[in-house]
Amino acid sequence: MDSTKIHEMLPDFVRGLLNEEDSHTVQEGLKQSATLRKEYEELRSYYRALETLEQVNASSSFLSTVHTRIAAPLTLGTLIKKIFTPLQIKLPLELAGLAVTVAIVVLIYNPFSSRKIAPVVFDESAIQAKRVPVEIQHIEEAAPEKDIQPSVKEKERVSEQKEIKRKDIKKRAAPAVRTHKRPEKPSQVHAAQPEKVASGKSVGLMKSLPATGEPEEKAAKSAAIETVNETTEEMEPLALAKPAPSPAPKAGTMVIDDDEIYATKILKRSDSILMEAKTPKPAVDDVGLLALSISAEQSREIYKKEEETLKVNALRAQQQMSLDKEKDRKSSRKRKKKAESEIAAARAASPVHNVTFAVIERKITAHNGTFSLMHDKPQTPEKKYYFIEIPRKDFSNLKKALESEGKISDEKFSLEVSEAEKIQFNLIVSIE
Amino acid sequence: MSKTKEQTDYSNNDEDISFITQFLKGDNAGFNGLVVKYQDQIMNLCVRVLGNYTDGQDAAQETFVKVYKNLHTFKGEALFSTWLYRIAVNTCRNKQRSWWSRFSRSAVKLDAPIRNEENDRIREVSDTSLSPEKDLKRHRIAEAVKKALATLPKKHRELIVLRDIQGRSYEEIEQILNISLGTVKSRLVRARSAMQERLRGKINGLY
Repeated sequence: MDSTKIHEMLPDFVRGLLNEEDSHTVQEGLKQSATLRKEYEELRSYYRALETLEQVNASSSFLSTVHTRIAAPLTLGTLIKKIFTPLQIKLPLELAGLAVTVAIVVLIYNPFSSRKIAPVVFDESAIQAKRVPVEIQHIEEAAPEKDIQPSVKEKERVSEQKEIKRKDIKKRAAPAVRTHKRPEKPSQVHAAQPEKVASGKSVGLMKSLPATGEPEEKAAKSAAIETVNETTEEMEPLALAKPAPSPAPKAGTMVIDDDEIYATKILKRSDSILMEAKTPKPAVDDVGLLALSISAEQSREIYKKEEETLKVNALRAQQQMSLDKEKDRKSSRKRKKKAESEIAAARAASPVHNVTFAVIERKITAHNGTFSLMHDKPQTPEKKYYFIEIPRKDFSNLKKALESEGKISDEKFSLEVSEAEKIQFNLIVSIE
Repeated sequence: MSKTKEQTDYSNNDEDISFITQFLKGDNAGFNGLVVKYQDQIMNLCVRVLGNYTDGQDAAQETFVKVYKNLHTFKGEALFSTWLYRIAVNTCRNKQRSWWSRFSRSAVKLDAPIRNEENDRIREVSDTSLSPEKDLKRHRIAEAVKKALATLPKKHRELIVLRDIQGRSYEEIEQILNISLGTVKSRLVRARSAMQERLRGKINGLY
């Protein structure tokens, strides 16, 4: 056997772990090789040194401690130990987990995005339009199936109710006593109407007229039933809001129609709703433009007419002055002076068109309006640009008055848009 | 390798299997039997590898806790003792890796008196010497061995403990450390050489 093999077996030989055959082989090798013998001695010393190490025995409480540790609940310390031990392995895993978590958070919330939240702009008019009046809320509370939206539809509905009320008031002029039985569904009313009217039995809201048997009365009764049924149908959405339907009264008995009371209340409420819904009125609205064309002939006629009027006025003033010589000399003098100045002014007005413009201006002031010439426009003896402010209610009269002097050639108005007390507009007066 | 040791190993394994079966049937006595049988060996292994009685004891107890929790996964493909040693070695490795274990490791001497957890008795190394002079020599040699062992690389230390101190077979070591037989042998030669180098001049002349 070669020395390498013996060299490998030498440690086990020292410890006595080899079988007889291998031991014999090693012994033979040791006899032949001094190197092996030296190595054998070193190994022997080495193993003897190791034998000096005392045996470490487990304590008597070892088993119970093991059981205690098995039964021990998971404490914070053990949990931390479990999570972080061994650090070499678990720390990279934990860091990886943390990185993934951060990545997910960043992905979801995107805190580094440059996107900014748009500032909230409060549109006052929109808020006012959306404002739900208390009355509407009260109505809708009784009808939970309805969507509470004080929208245009709501206003339309209220307008319809007002119309219904007006119709109803007209009908009330007829000597009729109304009985009321609400139909379960509006569609049923539609379907049942012809038969019911024909048979004289209306399940819906109907007027119970005195049963006289007269043909006119029957016709009136049918008409009444028809009208009231229409009313009922239209009022059905509101009727649903009623807290509790009253029991159907017997035919022919006098019954106070609580629908009417209810409709009246609704109308009052609707008025207030509409009033609230309106936006604040502006004081003055600029509404547009009016162009008045006066022919030269018309202008001359105006002049003549005016001069005559002035002369007549002057004459009257003179006559009055002579009559009131003693009584009121002062006032007579004033009148005379005024008449003379007017005549002088009329005579000084040259060319003739100035009188026409003066007449127009007088008409404006006569209709509670004020005027001023527009300085940014070219004012010529034949054409003048006025800026007029006039109460809204006087506008139509002024317009008529102007039309009597000439022809309105152009009109660009948006009166329907404006709800102001006063209106402003441009007046172009041209003499052609 | 002697046939006697192999036969002993397998007879031991039969006993272990019966303990395991007992435990898996719900009788903790089986587990207790395993603990009592192997506690000293595992304690020695852990204390030698970790070089610290306290850490060694902790690792040994933790090993048995792991065994208790994972015994149902033991398939019987290897000897139970091999499986147990493998768990113990891995537990020691984990303990060595933990930073606070390394940070708080106190230089407790194995031959220094240590208070027992249970009854505060002083644990002392058993005295087998015939004379005070020999006893002193023995202590010096033991101290030199421990120092040499402590300065060895971790891989070499495990091999020296398993093979030269605990007397495990190459095949067992192969399975415990999960390395090839050739690696075991070659690494063991280097480990022994390193130990002898460290002990040279310290143990000569003592015997």
